[in-house]
Order: sequence, then C-alpha cells, then structure tokens
Amino acid sequence: MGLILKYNIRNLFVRRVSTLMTLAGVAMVVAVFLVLMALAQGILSIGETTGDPLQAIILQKGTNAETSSGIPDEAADEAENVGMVERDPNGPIVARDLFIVIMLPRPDGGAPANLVVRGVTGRAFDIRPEVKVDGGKRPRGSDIIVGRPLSKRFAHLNVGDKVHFGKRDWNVIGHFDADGQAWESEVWVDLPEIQADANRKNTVSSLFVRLNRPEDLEALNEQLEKSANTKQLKAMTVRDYFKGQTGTAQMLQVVGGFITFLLSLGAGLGAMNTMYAAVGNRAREIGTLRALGFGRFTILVSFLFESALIGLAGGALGCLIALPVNGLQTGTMNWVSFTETAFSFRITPAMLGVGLGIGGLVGAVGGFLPALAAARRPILASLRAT
Amino acid sequence: MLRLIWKNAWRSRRRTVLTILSVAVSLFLLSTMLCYLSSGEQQLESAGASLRVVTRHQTSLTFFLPEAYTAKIAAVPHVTVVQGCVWWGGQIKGKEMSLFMSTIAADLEPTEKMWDDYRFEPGVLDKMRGELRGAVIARRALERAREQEGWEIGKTVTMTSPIFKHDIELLLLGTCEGPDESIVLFRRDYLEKVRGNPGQIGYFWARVDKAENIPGVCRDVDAMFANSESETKTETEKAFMQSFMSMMGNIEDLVRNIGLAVVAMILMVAANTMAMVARERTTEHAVMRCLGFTRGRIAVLFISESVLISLLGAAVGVGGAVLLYRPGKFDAGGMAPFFHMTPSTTATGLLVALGVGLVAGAAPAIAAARRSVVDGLRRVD
Amino acid sequence: MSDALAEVTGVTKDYKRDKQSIRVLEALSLTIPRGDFLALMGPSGSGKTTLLNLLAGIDQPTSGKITVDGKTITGLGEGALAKWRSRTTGFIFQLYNLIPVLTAYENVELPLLLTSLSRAERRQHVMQALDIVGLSDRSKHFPRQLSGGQEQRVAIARAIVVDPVLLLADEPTGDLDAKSADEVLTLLQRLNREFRKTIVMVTHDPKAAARATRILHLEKGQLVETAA
Ligand SMILES: Nc1ncnc2c1ncn2[C@@H]1O[C@H](COP(=O)(O)OP(=O)(O)OP(=O)(O)O)[C@@H](O)[C@H]1O
Ligand SMILES: [Mg+2]
Repeated sequence: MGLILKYNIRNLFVRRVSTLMTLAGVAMVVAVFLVLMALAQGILSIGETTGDPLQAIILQKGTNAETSSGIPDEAADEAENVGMVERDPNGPIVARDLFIVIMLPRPDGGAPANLVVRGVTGRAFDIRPEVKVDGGKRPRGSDIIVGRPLSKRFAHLNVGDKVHFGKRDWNVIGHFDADGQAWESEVWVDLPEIQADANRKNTVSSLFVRLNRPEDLEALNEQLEKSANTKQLKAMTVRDYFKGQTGTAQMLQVVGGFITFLLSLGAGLGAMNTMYAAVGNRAREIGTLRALGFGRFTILVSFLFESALIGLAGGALGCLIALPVNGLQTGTMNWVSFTETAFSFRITPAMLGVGLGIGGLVGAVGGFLPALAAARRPILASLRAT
Repeated sequence: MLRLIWKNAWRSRRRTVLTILSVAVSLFLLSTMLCYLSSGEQQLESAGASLRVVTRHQTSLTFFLPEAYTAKIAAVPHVTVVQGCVWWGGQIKGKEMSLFMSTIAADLEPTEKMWDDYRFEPGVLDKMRGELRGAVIARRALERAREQEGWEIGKTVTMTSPIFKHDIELLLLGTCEGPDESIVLFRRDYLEKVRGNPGQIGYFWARVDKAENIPGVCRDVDAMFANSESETKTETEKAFMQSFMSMMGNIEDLVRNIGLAVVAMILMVAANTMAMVARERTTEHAVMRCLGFTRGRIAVLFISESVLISLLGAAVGVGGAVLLYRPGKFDAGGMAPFFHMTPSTTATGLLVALGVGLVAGAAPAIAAARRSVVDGLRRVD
Repeated sequence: MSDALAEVTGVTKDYKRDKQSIRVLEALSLTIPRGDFLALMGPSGSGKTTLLNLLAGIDQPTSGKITVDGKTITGLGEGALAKWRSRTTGFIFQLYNLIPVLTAYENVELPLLLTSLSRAERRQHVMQALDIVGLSDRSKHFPRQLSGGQEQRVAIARAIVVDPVLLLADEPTGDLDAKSADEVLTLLQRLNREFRKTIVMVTHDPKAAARATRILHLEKGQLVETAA
C-alpha cells in the first residue's frame, strides 16, 4: 500500500497549481473556523478559570448577577460568621464587593462603553491571590487600580491618568493582572469611597468566600436560610456564576459552526472539481492498475487518501494562518452585566486537531464521488481513455 | 461570440456546475455577512434621523434617575414630550435563554407622540389605560413567541428580569410594528407598584421640536442637573445606539476579515477551475491562433468565460440571499431588524463575483497568450 | 492437466453501442498450448484486442467459456478476477502505460504489492526482472527519462515480475522504431524460450509475427490459422 500512497502523493506535486489552490481554499475555511472558535474559547476560558472550585459567591436571592444584587451590612455581617468558610488569624476570609457599572470613552474617541468598577476591601486580595498589582499597590481614597487589558480598551486608564466617573476624579496608580480571570476586566476602588460616591452606603453587591470542602456549599445555603437577615441570600460557586455569563461564546460557536459549514461546502465543491480532473486525467493509469490486479477498493481508498491529504495540508496551513491570533487581546459584551469583558483569543491543541480534522473531512468528502467514479469505471473504459 | 463563450462554459458541464455551486454557496455566506454589516449601518442611519434624545445617569445606565426629572426635562425649551422608561430586559419565566425580547416599562401617556415611527394596533393604547398590567408586543415578537410558547393576545404571561428580582405578569393587549421588532412595552406605574414605588427611572426619552435644537437641548438638560445628586448625560438616539454597538466589541472588523477570507476562497476555487480549463485547451488555443485569432481575442474569450461562470454563481448565491433576506421577512429572531439585502449589498456581491471572474480568468489567459503557437501545438498530452 | 494452457470455447462477444449491438467475436474457439508464442493478426476492428482482453480477464464474454491454467475465469466475480489477474497474467500495452510518477523500479514493484512478499523479497524479484530486460541500471529513472523502447522493456519487466504463466501483449511494438521493436521482440522470444512463458501477442507487423511460433488471423470474428 505504501507505494500506492507514494503514487498519490507524487501526483499532488505533479499538479502543484491545482493542489495549492484547492489546499488554500481549505486553509481559508479552517482559519476562519479557528479564529471564531478561538474567540469563543477566549470567552469560555474566563468562566473556566475564574476563581477556584472552592470559591463561592453570595448574592441576593432572585438575582443572577452582581449588577442587581444588594446585601445590607447587617446581612453581610451575619453571613460572614455562619462558618464553613476558610479563615485566617483575622477571622473568616470574606470579601465584600460593591459592583458598579460605569461608562467610559474609548481611547480613539469612539462611542463609550460600559465597564465594571468593583469596590473592594483588603480581603478581596486575600481571596484572590491571582490578582497581582504592579508594585503591590492597593486602592485607597481616590487612588484606584485597573485591570491591565482595560488600559488599551478605554481612555484615561493608564497609570498616572486622572479618570472621572461617579462624582469625582480618580487617580490610576497601578495596573494588575489576574491570570486571565474575569477581574482583569475591572477597575478596583476602595469600597467605602465608592459606596459614598454611588450612594450605596451600608450595602455591598456580593460576598466572596472560599469553602473548606465542596460539599459545604449546600450546608452554607442551609445556614443562610436559618436567619431572617441572611434568608434573602444564596451562595453558588464562582465557577458556576461566571460560566453563566458566557452566552456570547455559545452564540459565537453557533455562528462559527454555520459559517464553517457553508465555507466547507464551498471548499468541498472545489476539491471535488480538482479530484474529478485528477481522476479524469489519470484514467489510463487507473485502468492499468486495475489490469495489474488492483481492486476497485484500492483505487477508491487511494484517491480518497489523495484528496484527504490535500484537505489535511489545507487544514495545517489554516492552523498556521490562525495561530498568530492566539493571545490577541479583544473585548466583548457580557450580556448579563451589560459590561465589556476583556479577553484574549485562545487556540487550544484540541481546536487545532479539530481544524485539521475539518480540513481532512472537507478533502475526503469532496473527493468521495470522484474516487467512487474512478473505482467504478470499467477497466476497458479507463484503458481506452486518452 | 457570446454563443461561443456560452458553449465553451458548458463543455465540461459537471465542472462548471460544481464551480457555480461553490461560488454560489460562498457568495451566499458573504451576502449574509454583508447584510449583518449593513443592518448595523441602517439602524444607525434611521436613528440619525430621529428627533429623540436620551437622558441617562452620568455614570451609566445602571444608575437610576429620580422620577421628578420628568417635569424638569419637559420644561426645557424645545422639548415637546418626555417619557420615563425602565429597561426590564424580559425573559420568559423558566426559559430565560429562549427568546430575546426588549421588554421596557414606559410612561403610557407620551407613548404615541414619542414613538411616531411605530404603528400601534388601533385602540390598544386606550386598552392599556384601563389595565395596569397591560402590554403591547411587536407583531414579529408575538409571532415567534406564539410558535415557541403559544403566546396569544389576551393571554397573561410571566416574565423575569436579569436586573430586577421580582417577576411581572403581563396581559398582552395588542401589537405594534416598528423598527425594533422584538419590543414588549408595559406600564411603568405597574413596575413602580411591583417594586414598592421607589420613584426611579432608568432613562428618559425626550422629543425635540426641530433637529437643529438637539445639541442645545442635550446641553441644557445636562447643565440643569450638573452638580446635583444625580448628574445626567443626554445624547442623540444615534449616539446612544452607537455605544451599545461599541460594547459588542470589534465584531464588525472580525466580520470584515472573515469576508476577505471568503472572497479569497471563492477566488481559489474559480482560479483553479480556469487553470484546469486552460490546460485542457492549450492545443485548441494554438490551433485558433493558427486560424488567425489574436492573442488578445483568445484572452478576452477566456476571461469572459470565467466572468460568466462567477456571475452565474452570483446569480444563485446573491440571488438566493435576496430572496431569503427580504425586508421584514428575516430578522435573525428579532435581534437584527434591518437584516435584509439592500441594493448596495446586492451590488457588492455582484462586484465581488465580477472581480473574482476577472482575476481567475486573467492569470491563465496571460500565461496562454505568452505561449508560442508551436509550443501550444506540441503540448498534446 | 492437459497440455493446453488456455482454452477458449465457443466465445461470443457483443458490444452494445446505444441500442444497437455489434458482434465482435462469434462462437470462437481456440486452444493455446503451454509454451506457445502466438501472434494474433488481422485487420483493424477485427477483435484482436477484444480477444486479448478476454484472455486477460479484464473483459467478460457474452457467452462461451475461457479456461486458463485449469481455472475457468468466465463468470468469476470482480474481486476474484482481480486476484487471479495479479497471479496468472502479465499484460503489455502498446502505449506502455507506466505510471509517470513512479520510477522504473517502483513501476515493476507495483504488481508485487498484491502478493505477501516481504520488502527484501520484492526487491530481489524486481531486480531480477529488470535484469532480464537489461535495465537494472535504470531502476531509479522515471518513465519520461527513458526512451520508448526502454519504457516498453520496463513494462515487460512489470508483466513478468510476478512470474505469470501467460503473457499478453497488445501491439507491443506498435509505437516503436525498428531497432527498439527488434529488442522488444528478442526479449519476448527469450522469455518464451528460456523462461517457458506462454505468450499471446497482437501485432499488425508481419516481421513481428514472424518471431512467434504460431500465427493466427482473426477475421470477422473467426480464426484462420497460418503456419509460422
Ligand atoms: N467498449 C466497446 N464498446 C463498443 N464497441 C467496442 C468496444 N470495444 C471494441 N469495440 C468494437 O469492437 C470491434 C473490435 O475492436 P478491437 O479493439 O478488438 O479491434 P482490434 O482488432 O484490436 O483493432 P485494432 O487493430 O485497430 O486495434 C471494433 O469494431 C470496435 O469498434
Ligand atoms: Mg487493438
């Protein structure tokens, strides 16, 4: 069989132009597929990486977003002490956050967009060790820190800038990274300052805790149920919370699937043309092989292989074309909070595998009918062909 | 001459059909993407002509403004009517992701004057006056909800919100038709009652008497509330919409780049076909040259054939898009009200096909013209 | 086992073109003894190639029976026939029909892929076959780097590499100059004499036919024997 496959491969080189053009067509399909899926994956990975499996968020019942959740101080004080959460010498590690949406202009002067301002206490950093601020700075007074990707997406968020929101100007004193977690799309402000500024004194939006064990979530919810003050609260894991906000990714996957399907169809028809020509030009060779005793099945497999190989090579080229977008920063709307989420395109090895697979499949499917025609042609008809 | 081109194109029927289909499928996709781009532009354009301005909290839409601002804005010169609204963002209870409907609580009285670009079913606004929980729904939104959820006029439906913790029950009283075909409008006083009368407004629509007064009104309104507890930001309907689009991210750039990849793919398929044709006709072209055809004439014949094939592909692909994406027939589930083929998107699709035909035909034609007659005759294999 | 290698009994072959059917061979019978070198002559369109194809098992008669080396091939299934071909016959075409993208060596190796021989065994067979046709030094050349006569000799090597009992050649010298033709014919003769191969060769050239041990004339679907 090795020799037959060699035969197919060498023929691909003989008709380079046709091979290259077919291959490039398939490459376009795979590149488009990968870019769209990299976008979706980038969004999904926020949900998959934010927090850790033990982290939980406590929100007001009946809401599914921090945007609309309000927890009065009395309820927060009580919830802090129900137990089952990680502690340190200073007591339970509970971050009280106030979630505010503000609107800022773009650096290029384009239409403004919403983004998240999170009012935080020192506990916010204890529970999210992944947040690393340049120089270890903390927001205090009118000094604020900004997720690094945001500085490129909004005006006035570079270190040293003064930015106006709410009722006053704030000073950007540092940027922070958070391993690609959701926090990177946020501006962090000292909690009491933003509570005063936004007229939200004595309330926070959410509490973040880390459970001792995963099973404790249920117990925590039961505990919350027991008191009149905390009855209005519910806890869920941070992972689940952020996974619920990746609807855009699902939409992208559907749209990407649709686009890939149509494009594959186009490229597949092109591959079919190429393979019909190949099968036609080599009719006598096929007849000879058959006369030598090679069966129809061998011919079918051999041409399918040839066509799948073009597809695979196209898939590989598509992967190469798409790879540079990996890690590219961009942003999209979070449909739950109506704020912009910054994230980066993410291409995983599995996606590359699927891309190659699509390429191979487009080639194989496009080559199937021609290969079948080659295999089914009577020997004599093939031998007589000029 | 035309007959010859036509006959040549159909000499290898299967190859021509496959090429046409391939070009057609890809051009259909391209048309779909062009529709998406142009729907955004048209939305902005239609908003650009509007006399409405929006007043929202200066920090962002998520901050409420006091009800008392209604009268104050109405008192600003050149403002003819003011309507307080709250974005409810309705989702069907229990099926939060199934249908997208922009559900809005709005002051009832100014509705008709404010939304003159909408046609309300006769009498429906009167009916709403008598029914606190009454709602009017866009005709298209109702059609979809009828299919999926069995909604009918006269039915009471329960909706939840991503923003508010209460559920609301709306009694569907009638339909309306207008630019936003996913809209559900209900009484703001009902929402107030449900929320325990906080007296809060999400944003105000204000109508200005003449277009040239719009900038002045925006300035005056914001100046009036400057340094107050709740500062405002007033902008045109177009700017308001732009900031929503801006939040969608760089989707338009992405769509444009994908469009380029699609065009490249069509070009590859078409050029491959024409290269195959040229190879087969090498001898024939040489013979024609012997008969006295000039290089140029043969090239023209060949390129015309290429253009013909791409244009046939366009006829199927772009034509299919024109038939499918007719105004009012297709709106991507209410999310893209202007999603249809316009003369300019159709022309773009056809131009792409023309360009692809020219380029795909040109390269082999030039190579063929360069070849000497003797060379062409020798290459019989 | 009888002395006859191939037995054609009452074979009729019709071709249907559109609705009309043409009878190319009519109730034709022929015995080819083992070790025969048979030249098949006759005017164009008389059915020589058709008969050869039937013997090669790449075509089936409309009626009648063909037995080669004790095995009746008429009515055999597609797969069985292909397998039989790969063991029993070697076919030599007028236009050589070498695979252009494969080297001489690889072209000759091709039929061996259908056997269970190891790589080393295959190598031995291929080199032996190339040696017989006198082209061992050209094994790495591609067909386009060879002359017509050399190409045909590679094709002959390909035909004999599986050591078939029956060699079928359709106008093997039809496309060759006199000198190359002579070399090919000498080679066929040698294969017949030295290696005891039974050969059926279609030819238009009386000089080529003269090299055979027996000449048959095919006319209007019937055979007429002439002494060699
Ligand atoms: N597949 C086919 N379909 C229809 N008719 C055929 C077919 N193959 C052969 N024929 C006809 O059968 C007759 C014999 O053909 P064949 O090829 O056997 O002749 P030949 O003796 O080899 O001639 P030549 O010397 O020209 O090669 C011819 O009239 C030919 O037209
Ligand atoms: Mg013949």
